[in-house]
Amino acid sequence: MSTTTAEDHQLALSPHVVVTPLGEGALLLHLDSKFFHSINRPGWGILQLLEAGTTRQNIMSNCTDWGAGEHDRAAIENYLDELISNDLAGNFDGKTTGQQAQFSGDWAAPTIERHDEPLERIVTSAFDPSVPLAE
Amino acid sequence: MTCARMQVDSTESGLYASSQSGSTCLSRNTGRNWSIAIPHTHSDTQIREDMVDFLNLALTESWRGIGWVPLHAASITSDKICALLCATAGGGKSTLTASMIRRGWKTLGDDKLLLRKDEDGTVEVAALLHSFNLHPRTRDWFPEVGDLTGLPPYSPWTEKRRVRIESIWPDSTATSSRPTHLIEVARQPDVHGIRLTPLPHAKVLPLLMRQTVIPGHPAWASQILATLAAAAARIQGWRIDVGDDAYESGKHLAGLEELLQ
Repeated sequence: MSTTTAEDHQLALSPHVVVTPLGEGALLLHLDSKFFHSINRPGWGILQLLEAGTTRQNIMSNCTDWGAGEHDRAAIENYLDELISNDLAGNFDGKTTGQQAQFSGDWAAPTIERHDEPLERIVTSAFDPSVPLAE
Repeated sequence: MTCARMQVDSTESGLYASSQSGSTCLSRNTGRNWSIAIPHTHSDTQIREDMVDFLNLALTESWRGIGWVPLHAASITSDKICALLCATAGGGKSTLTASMIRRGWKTLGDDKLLLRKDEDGTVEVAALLHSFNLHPRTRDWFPEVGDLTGLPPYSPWTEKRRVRIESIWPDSTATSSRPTHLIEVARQPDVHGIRLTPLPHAKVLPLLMRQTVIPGHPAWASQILATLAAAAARIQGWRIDVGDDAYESGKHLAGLEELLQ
């Protein structure tokens, strides 16, 4: 009989999220909530693993290869929890693609910052998403 | 997607838009064919409003299909410089653009532009309309605009009038350019002249994202976000606070011109 732990659960990027590289990190946009988030370079490295589907164990292993120490574990866990709580990532039961992440440079703790104001959810025109509904 | 006057849903055959007044619009063949149905009971005004919304939808989808992202921005351009000016409706894009035209700059438009990432990764911005939406008060600063009060307002929601740019400032329009600057324009009555502040690079992409509509379809959204990110990577961001006296003397704009050049 096999047992699975939280370490073995597969995680993946939410299908409601699109990502684009930005500077050394990336920017994530949640297509339903319209909130967007900036992540730093190590955060982007981890996110590339999530794009293909991965486990916490594999993420930790990759982070160790990139220079993370045992003392970084909490920051990495917090980062993953933040992704999950904002519906940017979640459990995944599909087949992982084994995609490798691109990471270079010095290691730092992964960070994610949510921008205060989401994009407009109600729009009048592709040319002016800011015009309010009252118009 | 929820719009102010209509709901747009993705269906198996294509997009289906339904207005609050009962009109519908359906696309087929990946946006090549559009069918519009309008109830017999509609007034001319309702027909016009629904048609404008549906045609905007069809055009927007078609532009996206060939890689162009609609952008709510004005522009000023000169040689290899092209600044995109962003502000909310009524925020002063047209007036600032007109003031720079008077200093010899050209424009791609004061409100509607198209943005595209080329195969080499560079970004092109193109003109859509060579008309300005000007408030009749613009004449107070720029007498050559003349009396606009005889023209009809271009929409029920504004006092602005639509005028052809070249009819006021000949040879002042361009058709395309490469964006080099992004400028957030804001009216600030307490500012004397104009105040220029650099925007942190991390703020440039979010500001660009607020100038267009990113639909919920992941493939479309990814394409649009990639285009905006490519533009953001190549442009400097600035904020310009415009005081009430900014256009009374040309000297206030010299700082902006110096920054751009």
